[in-house]
Formats: sequence, C-alpha cells, structure tokens
Amino acid sequence: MTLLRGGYVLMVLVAISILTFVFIRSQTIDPDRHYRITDRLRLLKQYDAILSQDTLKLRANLLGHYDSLVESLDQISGLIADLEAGPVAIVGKGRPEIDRLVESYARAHAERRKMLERFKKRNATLRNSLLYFPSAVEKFLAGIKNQREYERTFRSLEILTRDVLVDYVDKSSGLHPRLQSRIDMLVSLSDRMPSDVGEQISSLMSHARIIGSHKREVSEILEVVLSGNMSNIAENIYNSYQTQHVNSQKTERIFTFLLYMSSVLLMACIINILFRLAQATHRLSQANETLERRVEARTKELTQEIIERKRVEAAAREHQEEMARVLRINMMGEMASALAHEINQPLAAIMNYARGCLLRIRAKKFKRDEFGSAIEEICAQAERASKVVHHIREFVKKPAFSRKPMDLNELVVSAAKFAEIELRHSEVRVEFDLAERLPAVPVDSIQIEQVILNLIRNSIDAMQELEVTSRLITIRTSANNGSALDIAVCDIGSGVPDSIAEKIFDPFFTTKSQGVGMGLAISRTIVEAHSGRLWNTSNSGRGATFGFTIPYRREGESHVL
Amino acid sequence: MRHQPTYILFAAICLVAAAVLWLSIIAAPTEDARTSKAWHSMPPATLTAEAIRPLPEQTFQDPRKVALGRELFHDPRLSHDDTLACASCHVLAMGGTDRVARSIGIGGAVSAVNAPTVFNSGFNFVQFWDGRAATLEDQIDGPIHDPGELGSNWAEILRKLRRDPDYMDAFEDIYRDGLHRDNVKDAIATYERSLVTPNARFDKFLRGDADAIAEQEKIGYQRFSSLGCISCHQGLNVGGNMFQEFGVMGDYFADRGGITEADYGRYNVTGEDEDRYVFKVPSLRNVALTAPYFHDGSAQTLQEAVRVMGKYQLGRNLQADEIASLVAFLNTLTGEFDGARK
Repeated sequence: MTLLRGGYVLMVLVAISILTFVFIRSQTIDPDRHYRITDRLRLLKQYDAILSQDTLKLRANLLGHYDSLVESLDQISGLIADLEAGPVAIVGKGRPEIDRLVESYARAHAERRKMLERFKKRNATLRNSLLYFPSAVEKFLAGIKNQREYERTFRSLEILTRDVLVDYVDKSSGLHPRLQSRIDMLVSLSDRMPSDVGEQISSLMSHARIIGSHKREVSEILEVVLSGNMSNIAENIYNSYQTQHVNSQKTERIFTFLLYMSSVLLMACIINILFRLAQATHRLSQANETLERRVEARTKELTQEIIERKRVEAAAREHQEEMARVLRINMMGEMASALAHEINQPLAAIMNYARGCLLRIRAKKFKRDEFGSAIEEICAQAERASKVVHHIREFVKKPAFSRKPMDLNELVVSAAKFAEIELRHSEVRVEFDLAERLPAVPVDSIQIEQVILNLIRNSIDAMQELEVTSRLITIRTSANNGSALDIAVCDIGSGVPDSIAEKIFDPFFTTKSQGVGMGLAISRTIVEAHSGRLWNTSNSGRGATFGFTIPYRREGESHVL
Repeated sequence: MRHQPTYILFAAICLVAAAVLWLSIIAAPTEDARTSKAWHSMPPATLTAEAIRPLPEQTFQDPRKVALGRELFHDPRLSHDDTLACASCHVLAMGGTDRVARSIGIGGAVSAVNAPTVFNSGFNFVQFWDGRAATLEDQIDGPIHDPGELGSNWAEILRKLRRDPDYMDAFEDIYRDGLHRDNVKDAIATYERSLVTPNARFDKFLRGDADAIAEQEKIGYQRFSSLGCISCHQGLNVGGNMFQEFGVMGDYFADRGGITEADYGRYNVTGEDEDRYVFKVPSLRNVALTAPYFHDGSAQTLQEAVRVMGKYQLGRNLQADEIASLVAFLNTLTGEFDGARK
C-alpha cells in the first residue's frame, strides 16, 4: 500500500513538473512588456526621423535653435537605456541578435551625439563668419578702394572673397585646394602692411579660413548623420523584434496546445483514479456484505454445534451422574452393616428407654419427672436415626445438576461423619489438617462428598493389616497457588505397589475381594467434570496419599468455557 | 480502511490546488519597477524658425516635493559645518547667484569657477560650466562634496537630516522609502525645476506683444541676430543647449593670463584636445542680474562681457552703440519669479 502511494506521489510530481514546464513555455510573451517594447522601438524610429529632419533643417538654416535636437538626442538616449536595461520579451535565439543591434545602435548614437556637439560648435562659428565676412570685406574694401598701394591686395581680396563664397555654395567647384594657399599668401602680405590694415586683413582671413574648413566639417558631419545608417539600424531592430515576436508566438501556440492536451490527459487520469476509487469502494462494501453474511451463517452453525455439544455433554454428565449414583448406592450396600449398626444403636437405645418406661408404668411405681427425661432421650435417639436415614437418602437420591459455592472443609467433615461408623468399626483415627479461609468453590456437593468418602474408605481398607492402635488417616485441605484447592487423604497403609500403579484408575480394577473396581474410576470422572485432577503419591514413610485438585476462578476473572 | 478513498481524493485535490496556485504565482507578471523618463508622453519638439523661444508660463511639478526641496535648498545642514546652504551661493533674490566672481565655500575656501544661476537651470542640456552632470540630480553631488563649497558627504547629511522629525515625516509622506539620498536629490532637483522665470519682456514680445520692448531693445535684438550672438545663444534658454570654445576668434586665455585647471573646461571631462577651453554656452536669461560674468567671473559688467564676447567669439570689435543696444536687449530677458522681477 505504501509502495503504491509512493508511486502515486511520484506520478503526481512528474505530472506537475511537465505541466509547469509546458506552462512556462506557453507564457513566454508578456503582453504588457511586448507593448512597451514595441512602443519604445516605434518611438526610437520616430525620434530618429525627427532628428534627421531637424538636422536637415539646420543645414538649410530653417531652424534657429538646437532645443529640439537636444531633446531628440535625450529621448533616444533614454529609449536606449530602457531597451538595454529591461529584458526584451523574447526567449530564444532572437534575443542576442536584438541585443546586438541595440548595442550597435547605442554605440552609433553616442558617436552621433559627439558629432552633433561638434556640429553645433562649428555651425555657430560658421554662421557667424558667414554673416560677418562678406559685409566686413565690403566695408574694408570700401575703406581702401582708392589707395594705390593696396590695389593688388584689393583685387586679390575681392577675388578671394568671391571664391570663398563660391566654394561655400558649391563644394564641387574645385576651388578649395588653392584657397588655403591664397589665404596664407594674403596673411603674409598683411604682415608688411601698416598694423591697422594688416590686422583687419588677418582677421578677415581667419573668418575665410573658418568658412572653408568649418563648411567642410559641418557637411561631413551632416552627411554621416543623415546617411540613414542609424535609421536603418532602428528599422532593423524594429523588424527583427517583430519577426522574433511572431516566432515566439508560434512557439507559444504550440506549447499552449501542449498545455491543453496535458491538462486534458491529467483530467482523464484524475477521473480514472476517481472512477477506480469509486469501484474499489463499491467492491469493498460488497465484500463486507458477503463477509457479514458468512459470519452470520458460521455463527449459526457454531451455535448449533455448541447446542449439540452441550446436549452431548449433558447426556454424558447425566450418564456419569447416574454412574456415580449407582456407585453411591453400591457403596451404601457395602456400608449397609455399618449403617444398619448406626441406625440400630439409637433404635436399641430407644427400645431400652421405652422398655424402662413400660416396666415402671406396669409396676406403677414411677415418678413423673423420670418419664420426661426418658422420652426426651427417645426423641433425641430417634432424631439421630432419622438423620442417618436422611443422610443415606440424600446420598443415593437422583440428584439434580446443581453446583453451588461450597466450603470444601465442610464437605470433608460431612464425608468423614458418613464414614464415622466404619472408622469406629475399623478403629481408625482421623486427623484433620484443614486450611483456614478457603474460598467457596462451586461444586456438586454430593459428588465431591462421594469422592472424599471413597478415598477415606480406600484408606480404611488399606490399613486392615496394621496394628489397631496405629491406624491413622490424615485429611488435609490447602490452597494451591491461589487458583486451585487440594484435598488429600493420607494413610499409612500398604501403599500402591508399582506393578498396579498405572491401573488403579482403570474401571473394574480392584484389589478388594468384594469391590466392583469402579470407585477410583468414577472419582476421577467426577473430579475431571469439575476441571480438576485426581492424583496419588507414595508417602515417604509408608502408605499412600490420594487427593484431588479443583481449580477455581478468582474474583473478577472471566469465565473460560 | 473504510476512510481511505476519501483521504486519497482529498490529498489529490490539495495537490492539484497547490499546483494551480504555484503556477499562478510563477506566471504572475513582474512589475517593471524602473521609472523611465516621461518620454512616451512628450510630443515632438515644435518646429519654429525663431531662434529664441519664450519660457513656458508655468511648469508642473509636485508641489509637495517643491516645498520639501525648498526646505532642503535653504538648509545649512547640507554643508559640513552647518554654515552654508545651496541658497547661500544661489541667492534667489539676486538672480539665483551670489554676485561674486567665485563663491566662498565652508571655512572661507574659494571655489574654482563662478556660480551659475539656479534659475531656469532645468532647461540647460547639461549642468556645470564643463557639462559634467547630465541632470540636476547628478549636479547636486558636485557642490555637496566639493571641499571648496559645501564640503560634506551623503552619509553625514543623511545622518543630520534624519535627526529632524519634520524631515522624516515629510519624506515618509511623499516617498515610499522615506528619507534617502536619491529622494533628497529628487526633492532638490524638483524644486530647482520649479525655479523658472517666465514673462520676460522679450518673451512677451515673442508672443506677439510688439510694444513689450522699446525701440532700442528691438535694435539690440536685431544686432544680436545679425552679429551672430544668436548662433550660440538660442533656444528656450537663450543658450544652455550646446558647448562652445571660449576664444574661437582669438586667444582669450593667453590675453587674460594665469590659466587654471578650471579654464580647460570640458577637456577636464572628456580628456580630448578638441574640448580644451570648451564650455557650456550659458543661458542669457536674467543675465542683467547675474554679474559678474563668464566661468572665471572676470567681466564685472554686461558691457564688458558683451565686448569680450564680440572680440573672442565673433572676431570683431563691437562699437559702443552696438554694445549699448545689445545690453539693452539683454535687459529684456529678465523674467519674473513669484510674480515679481528680481
């Protein structure tokens, strides 16, 4: 059962793991994040476009300030920081490609930022010089126009100014390479001129230089910025993100389907388990019912058997009781002379008293008081005889099965009294060694009395050979282990020879000339009917001890059949 | 034995429920806690041929942060010896500056460059003369740690501020995580962004009020454009959105002499030769109030500053009337703060 349950737990764990894996794979796209990223990529393209637009306007002098340029650059920097910091909502091989693109865009953006800073610086200076140079030249030329010593300078400055402006307007004019040396020439000329004129010329030439060089630098920067390279990267990022998103959606759909399938499977498994559980419960209740029916039937059979057995036992007991009774009657027969003597004695006494009374009545010399005591004596003697007869009658009557708690000491004394006549006749002394406070044991008193009497009579018989003075029977009662009582009759007679020791309890075995050999056999049957045991031992001196042990139930102990 | 089916069924239901719960937890979308700039809500910059744009009449900042930032801005506990606050050098009553060539820090130390005005600083594209801070928040670290300015550090400042229950409460109210360095910076920067001076007379002129500036001032504006000043001083802040070399048309530093490390300008940030003597073009708003001028505070008057600019940046010697009209124009750039001209 434990193994089975362990298997179930394992199966459930495996199922949960599989479901979890499939679930995670089917949840790769976080819509919120996806929209945010899409939004950022879209804005990136948008600001990139605005930036290009502004740059174009700046080149065409349509935009007078750099605020929007600065703002677009800041926005793009913020977008890049966001894209670089936040994980893109794509799992799989598309992710590194997008990261690489974003990284390359970030690098290009930093470079562009730097270039645009240079552009702002150069453009400002360029515009200043462009504004100033032509008018300053004009003003300067107007000042020296009619001075003959500056005629050559005047002319070359006029041509240079025209060429600088042409070069500014038309890059492909081819004038630029020679412009530098002509400017240098004019500067060196100015050194030989009076300081105020010379300074003015060198100042003008620095503006001319700036127009030439800054124009080129600014154009180069703008060309790079406007080359479309950045916009392409931004477009690429956007496109590959979308492609990857579509791919992950496909994967997600597959795993969603798998999730659905495994959920269905799991449900089927659960339903199956529940169904089997229901079946098992049903089978179990059926089995229970069958079992109950069988138990009932068996109980009935057993009850029948018990009744039958009781009936048989009752018959056996009846038979045994009948046997015991027959034996008691037989025993009475054997004891008849002794019993007759016992009855005869009071009868003789009665007769004597009665005769004495009669003589006195006939002689007419009597005292009234003497009759009284004589008749009292007659009554006492008659009662004594009646008791004996009653005892005999009780002993031989067909008894009803009855077990009452009895004091075994009492039974011992009663049995001894029964045997008194024989004892007296055989001149055997009896000694009692009775344990005090023996518990009352439920026994059939007549049968147990029969056993004791039988043992006493056997002992009397065993001591016929002995000297009259030494004939002694000791009757002993004792508690054995607190769960049984021992009653032992001990004599100092001939004992039990080893040759017959095994046969003495057999029916019809006897050593007596007049016995039927049923005494010990029936005694054993009676004791065993009381769950007891009849036993005998040889005494250490001489003689034998016969006894029996009757177990009894202690207070509170359950009744054992 | 009789109770087992129910027991297994119960265990199975528990397991399924636990699995569902677990799955729903791992599937819950994690909140992207990063706060990004509010770029997605901003419209593209408006396009205009006019080089100078008027300041917005008001900015929208969290008034609680502004109030807290104002407290911090004026709190001397931001300096090491509790003697100076931000407001000590950026005096709002004096155009957001202190009107000395170089500010005096704690213990009488002299800072390296002239203190620029705090007004409209939120519109500058970078902070500091050399542009080493990208934002106002980053800028705060500069004066806090400069031994020639406040000479303190964040651990010390936070320790001091946390002893003040009013600050603790104010920060707890506004910020989820209470009094922390970044929140102090945020409050101060928010306050600084609120320091805008709209309604300059020139702004009114730009908005269509032709009578907002006088005739001479109009001539000054015309010269400002035609002379080329406007090539650098343009946009919302009349400057503050680009770098430029100081001495394009002449060697300013050779003529002035005594070159210091601070004179290298942006070179100190990038280390590129191209950036030597390059500075952020300062805003000309409220320029009439913020003398002395330049990073070294060498020009005491506007006239002097205009003359120097003409010579070294434009490569020409400006005439007295040109300077006068330019100064007149520059005076129209003084805006209002708290409804009054300072």
